[in-house]
Amino acid sequence: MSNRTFFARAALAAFATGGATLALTAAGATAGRVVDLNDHGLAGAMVTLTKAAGAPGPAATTVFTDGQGAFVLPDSAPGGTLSARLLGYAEVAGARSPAPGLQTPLMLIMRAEANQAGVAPASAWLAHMTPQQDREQLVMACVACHQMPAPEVRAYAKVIDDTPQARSAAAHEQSWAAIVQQMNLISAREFSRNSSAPSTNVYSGGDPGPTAHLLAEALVGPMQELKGYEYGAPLAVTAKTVIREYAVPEPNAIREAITLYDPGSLWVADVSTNRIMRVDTASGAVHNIELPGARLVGPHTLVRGRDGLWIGPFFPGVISHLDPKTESWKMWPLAPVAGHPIGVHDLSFDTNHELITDRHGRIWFSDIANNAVGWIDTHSGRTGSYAVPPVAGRIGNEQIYGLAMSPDRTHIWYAQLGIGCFGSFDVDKLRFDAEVTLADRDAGPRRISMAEDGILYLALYGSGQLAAYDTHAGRMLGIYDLPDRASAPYSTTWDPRRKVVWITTSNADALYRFDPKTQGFGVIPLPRERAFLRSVNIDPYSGALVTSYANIVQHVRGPRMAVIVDLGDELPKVAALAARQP
Amino acid sequence: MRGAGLAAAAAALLFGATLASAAEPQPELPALVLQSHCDECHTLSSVLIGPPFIAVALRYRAEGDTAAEVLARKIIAGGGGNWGVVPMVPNERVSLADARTMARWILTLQAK
Repeated sequence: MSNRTFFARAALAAFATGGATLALTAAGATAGRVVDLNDHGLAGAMVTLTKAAGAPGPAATTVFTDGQGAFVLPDSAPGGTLSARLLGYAEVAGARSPAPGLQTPLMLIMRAEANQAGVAPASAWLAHMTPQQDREQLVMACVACHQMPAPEVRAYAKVIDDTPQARSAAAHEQSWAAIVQQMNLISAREFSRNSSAPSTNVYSGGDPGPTAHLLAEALVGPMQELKGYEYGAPLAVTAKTVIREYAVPEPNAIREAITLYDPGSLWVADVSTNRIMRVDTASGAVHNIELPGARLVGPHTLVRGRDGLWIGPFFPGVISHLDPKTESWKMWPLAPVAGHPIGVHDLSFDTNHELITDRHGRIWFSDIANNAVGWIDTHSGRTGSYAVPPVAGRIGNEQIYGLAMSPDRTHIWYAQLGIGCFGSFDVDKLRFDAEVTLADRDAGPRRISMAEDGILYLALYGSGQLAAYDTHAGRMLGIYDLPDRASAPYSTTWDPRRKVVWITTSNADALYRFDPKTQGFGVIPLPRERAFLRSVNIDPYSGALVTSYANIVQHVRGPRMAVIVDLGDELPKVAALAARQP
Repeated sequence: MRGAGLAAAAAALLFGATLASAAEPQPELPALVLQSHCDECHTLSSVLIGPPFIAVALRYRAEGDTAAEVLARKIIAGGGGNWGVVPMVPNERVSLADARTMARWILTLQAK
């Protein structure tokens, strides 16, 4: 095994019956090739080892092939089954190499396959939807909860296509209207989970008509075949990149996952319950930590603090803190503002994506329920709230969302998801400053982050773009089309060590990297369908990207996993960070 | 679409109340029906998104001995033909055994 090549003696005791999947029986260094039917190596293929039941470690470990189709799995990878994934190719059923007992390198065989259904992301089905504004509205209406079109959505499109009575344009719209009504009902139930009173909080605004019209326009035909999807930018991975996916027991609805100052522990928010999960990254073992009290909080937003884990809730009215060493909690209930509960969404963080206060010791937050910014002094318990001023021509459905603090700690910046606006608030003078209105109301600025030079990066969920705004000069540096305009970019995270921006996508099964120097993008494809991403954090020690497949609400299908992307770029360890560990 | 959106917001004031009542739990339904999320479209005796279960029972009992099997397959495959132009969603994650159990329960229902 010293040459990192996996030979049959290592454990090829059995073969799976389908595809090029091979069963391994022992852990150890595993290397091989992915080839086509002409024995040409396939570059950039994902090779995923799904661990055997009961084996320790991540649920799945994925590496990428190099330019010659060669791959190497890490030493720590457990035994399990191998599979390969590559746009434009399919595994060859029944392929099996090497034969048991032969000293033949491990080989996975794929064949060219034009139909990308099931391999390309959901966004691929929206690539040609026009006009752009309709696509934006569809993304904004639907992708907040699930990928669009998810497999079951496509399955319903086929049923409509197959049903004689449903073939008229009017019947199409009626059929999709029924689905929107179902989604509205589900969302009303979701928002009722912490209350005895039914909620009227529905995503489509109650009238299914406009969204149904968009669905009928976009989802035509049986939707069984898809061709021609490309990532849209070069891959930002190498043969040293490793993606580790950690499953947690069901039921769960993972919202976010981060690491603190111990790279051996992943912290995971389960928005469906009152618990935080700690996942041991070596063994994969899951440890539940319950929030105290009977009140349903639904852990939602996780922010790394130098003193532990800070948590924003799904249900209004409380900010929580967990000491990871003692597993002790502190919670700060927030009094309603003028009778309206406070819906904390994002907590103020710095350019390292760590919780930070202003110079007066106040944590700031976005209050999505009141379209306000607020603060809490966790020592005194005092709070404050400031409603965002109305934006001319864009009244209603503002949805303040992302929030970040300026490096000098004098301002917080916020995004208003629902109306295509963002702005700033002076935390010393306690007044609103900048107000920036994007041309497109449905652009969807969602989660934001700021670099040390004061450049604010905004993920434009609806329009599939990245905005870069110079907060010092007060001018837009650029609005950049993402590699996939239907990707539904959820958040940006400034990477202070690599000096790049990471952009999560909800609809494209991919992470994007943006380099401000070259203004170019790179793509990290993810090895799983329905890889619905929300936030991404940078591990303070390794520089690995930490994220999650955040398929919430509870009814939404799709994986719920915490994910660590080790880019393999061998960043120097940051010794200075060790001193900051609590 | 923007105008339509504003209209939708206004309509929400009316529709929301209806939706809220529909979103209320239906404890009268068997656990398997709830676990299979059938209650997102159906109630026992009133129209929600799909027909009430009692109406389904009346329709399928007419099929005689084959009713349970046909209905079970319809639960999984979805499709239209009985209740206007809107087809039912497929429920491919429901097992045939569970679909048969639910079909048999539906066929026991009687109009009040």
